[in-house]
Amino acid sequence: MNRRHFTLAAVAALFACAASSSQAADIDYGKPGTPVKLVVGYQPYYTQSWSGVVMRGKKFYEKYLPKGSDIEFQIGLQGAIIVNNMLAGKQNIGYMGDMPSIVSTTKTEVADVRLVANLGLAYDQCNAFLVRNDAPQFKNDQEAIRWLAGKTVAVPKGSCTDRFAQATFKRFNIQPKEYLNQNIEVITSNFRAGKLDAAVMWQPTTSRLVDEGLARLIATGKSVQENDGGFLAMRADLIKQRPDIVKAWLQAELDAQLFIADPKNASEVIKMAKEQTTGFSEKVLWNSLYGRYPDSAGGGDMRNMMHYTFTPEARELINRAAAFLYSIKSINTEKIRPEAIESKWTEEILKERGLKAPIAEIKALPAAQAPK
Amino acid sequence: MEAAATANGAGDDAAALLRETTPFGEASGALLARIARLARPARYGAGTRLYSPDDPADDIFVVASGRVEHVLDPQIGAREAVKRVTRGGVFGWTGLLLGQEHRMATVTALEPTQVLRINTEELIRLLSSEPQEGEHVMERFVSMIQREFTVPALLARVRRLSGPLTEEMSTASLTMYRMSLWLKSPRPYLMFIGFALFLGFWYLAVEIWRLPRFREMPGLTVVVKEWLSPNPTYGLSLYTEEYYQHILVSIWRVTKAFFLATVLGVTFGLLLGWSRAFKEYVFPVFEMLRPIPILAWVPLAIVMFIATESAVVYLAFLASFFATALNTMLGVESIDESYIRAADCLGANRRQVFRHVILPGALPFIFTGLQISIGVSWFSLVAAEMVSGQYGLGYVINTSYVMVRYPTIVIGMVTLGIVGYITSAMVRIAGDYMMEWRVRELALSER
Repeated sequence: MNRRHFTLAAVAALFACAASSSQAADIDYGKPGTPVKLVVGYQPYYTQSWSGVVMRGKKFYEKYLPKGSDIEFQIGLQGAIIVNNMLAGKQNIGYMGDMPSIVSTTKTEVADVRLVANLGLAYDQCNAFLVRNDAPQFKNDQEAIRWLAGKTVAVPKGSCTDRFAQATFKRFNIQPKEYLNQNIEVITSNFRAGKLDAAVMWQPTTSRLVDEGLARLIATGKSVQENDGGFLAMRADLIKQRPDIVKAWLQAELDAQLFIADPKNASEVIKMAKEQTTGFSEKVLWNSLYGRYPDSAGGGDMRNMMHYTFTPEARELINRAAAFLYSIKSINTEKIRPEAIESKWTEEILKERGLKAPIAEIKALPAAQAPK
Repeated sequence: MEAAATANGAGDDAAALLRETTPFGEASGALLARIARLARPARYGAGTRLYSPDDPADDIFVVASGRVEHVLDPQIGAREAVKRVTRGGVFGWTGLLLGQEHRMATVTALEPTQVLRINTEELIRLLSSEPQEGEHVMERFVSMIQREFTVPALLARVRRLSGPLTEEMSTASLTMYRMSLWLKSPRPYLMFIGFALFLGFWYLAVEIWRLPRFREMPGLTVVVKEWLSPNPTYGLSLYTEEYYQHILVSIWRVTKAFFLATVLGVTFGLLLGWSRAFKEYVFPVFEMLRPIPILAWVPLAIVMFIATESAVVYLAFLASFFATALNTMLGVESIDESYIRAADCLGANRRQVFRHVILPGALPFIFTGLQISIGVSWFSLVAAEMVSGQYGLGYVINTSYVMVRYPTIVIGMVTLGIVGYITSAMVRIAGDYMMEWRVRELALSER
């Protein structure tokens, strides 16, 4: 093949590719009732989305999905990875914290992603202030928060931790000396190096840092009545083509949430979480979801409220978080579009099963029940 | 009248002969005529010795007919010491070399030989009066001495033509010469076509054809619109002060990292190449550390350095240091042993060999290493600025990824690419000025 023929062939191939791609549409999930292949992104390193851990471990979906369906779980170290994969069509379902969930619904120019269920609302899953271990001993969370004025504080920017930290500073009218954007790995190393005064972290990393003696928990969202949440997202093309799959998955999700909230299952949940993560002991994982922190540090009896559907509290959180993301120029809209929240599926399932939201509550368990 | 005509005819013959030679072959007719007027014909019988080493280097010889044997002193270190010179060949050029006043070869006529003799000092004066062309002739001499007589580059350094214009020409005009060659070549136009094709493909693939795996990417118009927007959706554009703050912070960090990498990397590389014992101690550890990715160093850098900024600079420095040190070492190792032997023969001590042979000999490799080094420093920046927590182009890219701000990611990438390209070009220009001899060689060979 001479050079001219090669060039012509290359141009022809390019146009053929263009022609075929212009006909390419959404992902094809098959006809309703037929087996489906799904890729699920989930965050075992974020306790509030552990119904994904239970789904993977207990395979509740097998009871509801068409026989022969193929489900692959992929771990996302943070929500942004799952958002990117969902937008790119590499994952179809995503278990995420509130901020990445909201971001995923705003990139319609790339792909339409919608929220279909709530994974829980809490005060300390994401909203937990840690200080270096040699910080002064505080009488209570209020005094501890005031101490943060003029200190070096780090958060992963754009995450729930950022929202919580900024809301806390505003509420107490304090300003840190430096407010750094660092990921949780860098924050951990910085605590180890003694370079940070404080940081906001999410579970189970919060519990690990406390357990390792690198940092102390001083306040949570309960201290300033600022909650956090997790949501289940699906690509709109899946919702449109396979309503049967959406419903089946959400039936299984309901089972998973009920399972996780039952204290009898705590040790089994922790074992599954241990299997699906690395670097966390069972005790740390247990503390992150079932442990009880002192009231003086923002602890409480309720660790996670399983709303399942989009209750007014869940919607209020979404609106507040979206406004925050817009204010820091992370998203291009102050409110997410109404169709991005598909509550009809969960509402229908709750009705069918005679349940009301919130469906369950994860209560803090006595320390005696913690794994040794 | 007749005598004048004869003289003119002899001058034409001499000019024609000079035209056949390497050094004068590209000179203008006017210059050749002037050089021809300096030429004095001479005849030598077979077996006659024209000159020997240590004779004064007074004339340059151009062979008109016959054949001579040119034997360079072995101490010179020429790859081929013996050379037969026939019509058009030029010898006796020692007087043109820096610091050489005596012959370095023995030349004997192998058969009856006619030559033109040109006094070296008169030739230098004449060439100095036409600096632009004169410099070119001198460069052709360098080229001939190195290529035809296989003399090491270290020795084949010619005297500079006097006068400020010549000095100026040796730097600025050669750069201009290279620039004019570049503009006359298809390269700049191909470069623009390359950019146009890249941008065109980006636009078509993402926004018009919406090719699989491309349609999810941010389109060209979206990125350009955001970049040029006075009120950017994601907070970063040419109109925001923050944008320039990120650039300046990154440039400052890379400058510090690059400076450290250059000082430490060149020193370390020279030692590695120069001292076998040092290399045997250190090189295995160096090679073990070199492939470790920058990301793996992040936690250790945080713990190792008290100041956050030091950790960032260290991370940007690390890969640059390895690139510089390795290239410097290879540069030292690439120096032909004969250069060192030649310097030894000329009485240079170890320090002088290092200063005049090793260092200049390794410079091309060092500057190649520095160009790689500055690039490496820029692409280490994304990992390095993960630690920074506030500013920098790497920080912008990393944060935008976490916050899923695709247009800002591309703005950060393109800006980093442009700034990286400019700094790389600056290093290249600095290298050209420090290695003029090499630039001239490249310019003459139209590269």
